[in-house]
Amino acid sequence: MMISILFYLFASLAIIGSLFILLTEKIVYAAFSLLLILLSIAAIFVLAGSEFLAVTQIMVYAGGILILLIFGVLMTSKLRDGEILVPKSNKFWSIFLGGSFFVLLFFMISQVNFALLSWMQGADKAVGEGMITKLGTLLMSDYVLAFELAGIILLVALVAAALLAGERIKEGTK
Amino acid sequence: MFDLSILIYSLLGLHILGLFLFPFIGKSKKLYLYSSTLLSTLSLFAAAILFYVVYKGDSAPVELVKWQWLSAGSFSISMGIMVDFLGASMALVVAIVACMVQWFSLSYMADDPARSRYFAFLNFFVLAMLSLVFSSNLLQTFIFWELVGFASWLLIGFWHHKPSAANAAKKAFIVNRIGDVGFVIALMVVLAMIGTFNYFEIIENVSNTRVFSGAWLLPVQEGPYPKFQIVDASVLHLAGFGLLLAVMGKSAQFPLAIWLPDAMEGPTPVSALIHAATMVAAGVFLVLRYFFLFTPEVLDVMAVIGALTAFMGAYAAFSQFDIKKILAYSTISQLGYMVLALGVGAWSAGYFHLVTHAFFKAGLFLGAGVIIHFVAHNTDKADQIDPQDIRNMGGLRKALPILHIFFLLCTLSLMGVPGFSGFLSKEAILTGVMTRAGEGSWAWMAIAFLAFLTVLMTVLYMARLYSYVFLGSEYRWAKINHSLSLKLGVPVAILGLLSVGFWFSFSIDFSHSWFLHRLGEPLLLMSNLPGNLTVSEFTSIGKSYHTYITFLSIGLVLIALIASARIFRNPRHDIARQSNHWFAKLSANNWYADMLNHYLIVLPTLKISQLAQWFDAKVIDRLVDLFGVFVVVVSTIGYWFDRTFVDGSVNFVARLSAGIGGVAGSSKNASVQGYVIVAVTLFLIFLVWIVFVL
Amino acid sequence: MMIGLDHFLLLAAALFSLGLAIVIARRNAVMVLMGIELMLNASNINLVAFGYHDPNLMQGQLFALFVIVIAAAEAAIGLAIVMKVYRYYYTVDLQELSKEHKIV
Repeated sequence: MMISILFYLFASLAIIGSLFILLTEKIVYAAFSLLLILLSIAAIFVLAGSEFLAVTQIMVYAGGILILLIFGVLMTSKLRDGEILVPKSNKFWSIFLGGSFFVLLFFMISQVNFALLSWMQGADKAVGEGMITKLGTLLMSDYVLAFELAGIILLVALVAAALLAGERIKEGTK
Repeated sequence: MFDLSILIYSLLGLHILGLFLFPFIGKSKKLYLYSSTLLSTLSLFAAAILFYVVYKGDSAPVELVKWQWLSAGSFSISMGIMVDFLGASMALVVAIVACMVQWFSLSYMADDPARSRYFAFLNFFVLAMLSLVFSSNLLQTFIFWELVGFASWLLIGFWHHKPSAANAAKKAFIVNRIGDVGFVIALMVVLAMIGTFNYFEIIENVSNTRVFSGAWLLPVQEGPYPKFQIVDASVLHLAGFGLLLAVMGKSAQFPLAIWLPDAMEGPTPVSALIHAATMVAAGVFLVLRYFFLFTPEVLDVMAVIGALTAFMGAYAAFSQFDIKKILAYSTISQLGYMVLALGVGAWSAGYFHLVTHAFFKAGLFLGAGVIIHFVAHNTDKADQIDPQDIRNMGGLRKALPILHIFFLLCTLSLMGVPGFSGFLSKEAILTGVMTRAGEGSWAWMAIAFLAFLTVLMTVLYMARLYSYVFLGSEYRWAKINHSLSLKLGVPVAILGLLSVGFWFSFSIDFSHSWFLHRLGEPLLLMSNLPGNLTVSEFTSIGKSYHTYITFLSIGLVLIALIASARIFRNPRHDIARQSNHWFAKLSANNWYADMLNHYLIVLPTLKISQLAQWFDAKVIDRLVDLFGVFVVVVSTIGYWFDRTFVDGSVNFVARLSAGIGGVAGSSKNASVQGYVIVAVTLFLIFLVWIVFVL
Repeated sequence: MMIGLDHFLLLAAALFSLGLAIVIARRNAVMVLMGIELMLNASNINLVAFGYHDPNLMQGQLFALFVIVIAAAEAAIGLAIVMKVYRYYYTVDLQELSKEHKIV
């Protein structure tokens, strides 16, 4: 019961937050609302039994990506009267496409009876102890190639981002 | 026997090496350029050996290498290398043109500061193209298809500091994305219905299925009592149309052809490699490889599109003054021929034309490169003339005598003069078209008429190009002693010699060509060729038309040659010079493609939406008001109802149509989000179709 | 007590659709990036919810982990590009960029 209430609480927080991003005029509010969403999603990860992922979510998203986004907002906005306002366009299309996408997904999800899936019935329900240990073991054994590749991708992305955003002054241009 | 996989590995490996040398020795330009060119020459030898071994070997396609890429449950995706005569000969064509282009570029790009990067891009492109040719898997083909598109983006925008080049690169890339939506849809259909991407497994699974009166029977259970799942056959059409859309994007067919003329902003050797010989041929190659996935209905549409493209491209080539633009429109026209051939079921003729066209068009482009180079370097900088404008040339027959010979060989081949390769392949296509048209209705006769008309027009516009560039009596060049450098001359000469007919057939009759004999017949699995013909029926009917088609087309070429000799003797007779003439205006503006978009799609939808809003405001509101006078309470409810639902739906429809018109029609005003909208809408339609219709 | 899988999926569907709407509607490039992050998160919820029923291999969780890594890389690159565009055109408004500056 308690878990259900928590789930619905965080789910509604996430949805309200994203609606706010969609509707608000003020981009800084949107960024902080994204923080709310990311934290609620982390909570939902906990409810789905992946504590490690929740911590990663908080550290990477809330701690890293969001800070980046806020920096991005601050560095790319023209200040008008102290407030940063951003316009919207394609209102009709966004509502139509987003709405019909949701309706379609809703329909498809409601059609499926998950309890009948074979792998669902066979799955071991023991969740909790030793999960993080297991995750670490798997990362270092079965998934080690993907893990290393992810590291390389991050490195390359960071170098590329620094190269892209950094100002290079060439002779003759400036 | 020679192990084929070693050959293919070395073929790909040489270009990988060429690409990966770039970071290490790219700084020292001379070393990198020469090593890259040497590597591509070696890969030409590897391709030639591969071609010879496959030519001598047996004809069935084989999968040399296959490895698991990813698996989920019972379903897995493999990657692999396959080879057959189609793939080996295509690889040889790509390798020849790529090698010639690299040798040519050594001299042509010698002054460019970024020439190392250029050669790395060339290697990357050839690598992607060869991998596409050898891939044994539809998903793998898609991956390399995208990489080829990406390489094309890099090369068109090579001079990215020129805004026009950057825009042309983006235009090519984005127009191709529209086609890719079709490819992805086809991939989904193939995976959902056939259950595999692998070429051989697709053939195996499909050959167990039957199409039976509009329904498609898929085997679910094997054994003595097989069970079948019945699927609406329209799903096959969907896969075919998706692939057709992809081909239209990549091979520049009628509605999506707009990117190719702009792509001439790239360096000229790039135009020769990508936009004449290889990349645009990737679309045609896809159809050739997966011909059995196309139903007769899709092939009919393909034939119509091909015929329209052939005609419109040839027509638009009439009034261009930019030498590269003329060749670009001519490429569109010839690609239309190939697609038309595939659409009527003349599978081998389409491929034959691809091969011959690759050689003579690459030769023409490289020749044009020499000419542009020559004009740009031998006129006063103060004159400010456009070196690509054919009005600034003339009399080059004397100035560039050797180039003139080989350029003429390529030109005659494109015109379809007997004795040249273009004649043979064009003949094969026309025979295929007549075979189909003879069985079909008046609409097919119209398509055949377009095909023959294009023969005539091809001769005319090429004669126009030739007489502007080489004839005439401008003695501006007389003083200059220009000897063609060997690096520029030899590639053009080789390509010019390759466009002579005896490489493919010793007689002027294409049906004696060893190439077509070795290529064999298309693989058909589910249905016959369009018009419900079997392959042997198709060939035998073709034989009966063959003789008089030969006479007809030779006659057409002769008439056009005589006519052009009269017209273009004096440049003032060129209709394109009278810029107010409707004929010239329509041609010079490429059928007003942009304006047509505006008037046919954007404005009518705006009008309809205005009408809907007027109707809504004047009629529906008025009615509701009248109603409200009589019954106040009911009218309040009615008004509310009207406000939310009736207005809502009317506005909805109006804005939907305005939106679709706005997004689809505005090739100039489109934005990133517009493309997102189009893509998501197409995806949604597909999902709805999958969920509710299937 | 466990929450049904379909609840997670519906939440993910709602967040994904809202993310899509944000990507289409907002004109500021940074906001569009936020929408993309939201969509990636929504798909992560799906992965985690399925991974809940697979405690032995934990493919769902691991996949979600890699999605987070890719999202971080994407955000870094995306923002770097946005900064570059801003420095060049003094705007990050997508409509303005396409209509006036003709960059796609």
